[in-house]
Amino acid sequence: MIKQKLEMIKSGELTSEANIMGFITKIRKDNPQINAVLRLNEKAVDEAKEIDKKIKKGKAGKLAGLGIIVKSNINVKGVICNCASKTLENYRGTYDASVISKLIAEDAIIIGMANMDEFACGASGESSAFGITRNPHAMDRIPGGSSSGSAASVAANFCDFALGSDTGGSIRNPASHCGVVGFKPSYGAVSRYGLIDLSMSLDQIGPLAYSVEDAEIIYDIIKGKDERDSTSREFVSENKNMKKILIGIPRINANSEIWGLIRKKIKEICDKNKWKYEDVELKHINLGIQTYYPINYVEFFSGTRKFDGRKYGLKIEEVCGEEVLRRILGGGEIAQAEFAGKYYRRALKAKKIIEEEFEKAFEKYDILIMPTVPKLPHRIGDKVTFYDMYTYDSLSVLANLAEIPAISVPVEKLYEIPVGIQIMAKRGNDNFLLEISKMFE
Amino acid sequence: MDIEKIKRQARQILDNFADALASVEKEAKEGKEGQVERDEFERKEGNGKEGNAEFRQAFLKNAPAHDDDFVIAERGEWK
Repeated sequence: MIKQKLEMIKSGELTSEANIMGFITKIRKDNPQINAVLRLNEKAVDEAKEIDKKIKKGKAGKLAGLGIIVKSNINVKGVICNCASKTLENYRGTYDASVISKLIAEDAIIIGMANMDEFACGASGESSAFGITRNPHAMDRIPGGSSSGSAASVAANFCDFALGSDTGGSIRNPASHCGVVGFKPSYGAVSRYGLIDLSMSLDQIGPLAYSVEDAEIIYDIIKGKDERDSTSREFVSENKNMKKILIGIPRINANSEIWGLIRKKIKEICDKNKWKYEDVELKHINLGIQTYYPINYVEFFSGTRKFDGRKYGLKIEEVCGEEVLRRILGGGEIAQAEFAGKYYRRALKAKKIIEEEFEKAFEKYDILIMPTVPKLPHRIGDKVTFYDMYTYDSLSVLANLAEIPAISVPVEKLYEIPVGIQIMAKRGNDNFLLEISKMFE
Repeated sequence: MDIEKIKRQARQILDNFADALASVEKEAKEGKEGQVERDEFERKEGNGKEGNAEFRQAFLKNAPAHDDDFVIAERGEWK
């Protein structure tokens, strides 16, 4: 879709201004029901007019005229970036995140800021301080989270693509529920400079899009080493023989009907391409959430100490929602020196083991495939315990823990609700993963 | 919100998770956890960043209390 749209804009068939105005009109009409977008960029149309001038002069960037919705935890200069929290309700970004600078340099236009779970602490889209986001494909159901608004924006045609962040599945989970593509790069592939962090050793920014090709176009622009993020790196993807692919299917718990759709898709693609697949046992794969959450809690506690109501916003503990408070209080508890060995260090050791298990698996398998989410999205208003909420992450946290790239691609619908297939590759093989994922569309 | 209840819930779930990981811990190689892979260990500093009046203005505008030059924060007593 992005390629075709760019052609239309370049040829003059569509102006940037008309493209952006079209999205703004759609948002004004449909967003009151969906609540995917929290803020519009007041300058978007003016920026689009400037891009049109550049296009006429033949001096426009690679994404000229395309409209983006950005998750509200990614800094955009001059725009409210409130992480869907009262803590930062009126906070305006004082600088552009590195990914934003790169996209603007290519003349993409920020349409607005997406709703999300508060401070990315969630997997449903229900914990925003500014209202629940609905799933455009199933309006009585959650869109998933925490990049709920980003995924819903793509599904509702509010933009050409969106940006989200993924710490334990927050791009892939809502992508699966909303029937769009969501890509989490390898840890370090995309700069986190300007991302208001949830868990600094796990967070990654990535695209949500209509197709894998679209996600790839955006990834190729936002990736790369950044001096301002010391964990960022250049990765070079391996060249693999696409005629000889071996797929591993880890044995892991998920809804049997969802597994049925996934296996059906794997068989279909393998039969078509003459690839092979087999089940694989990864010993500690069912300890994902037990490993993930202690790390998440401690790092989130650390990352939120700056929200003390002095430099910006309000004191977080005084205004945040229940899940945010749970992670701060729990993280603060176990961050104490006396508990370090039992919780955080133990989880870091488990993380290392999971990482090594995946590394070993990728010595044999080119990709690993499983469902993105183990169950269908619940109905808005259903009583769900916070532990049940955590279990939505059980399949997606593994890629974050192992620091590998992972993507969710829509397969079929189950009871009219979208289901995503999750494909993972070895760390650094992001472009290979994107290439092979196109076969699953 | 019942803060004590939330705190108890957090502690309980973390205890459950820690217990689940107890056996895994024995398999781990000591000292490898928490390491972050990097290509280089020193940042290229360049010439540094010059002060930016626009940034200063935007930063101060975000502060709950400020004068022209400084964020005003209560000193000494931690809230």
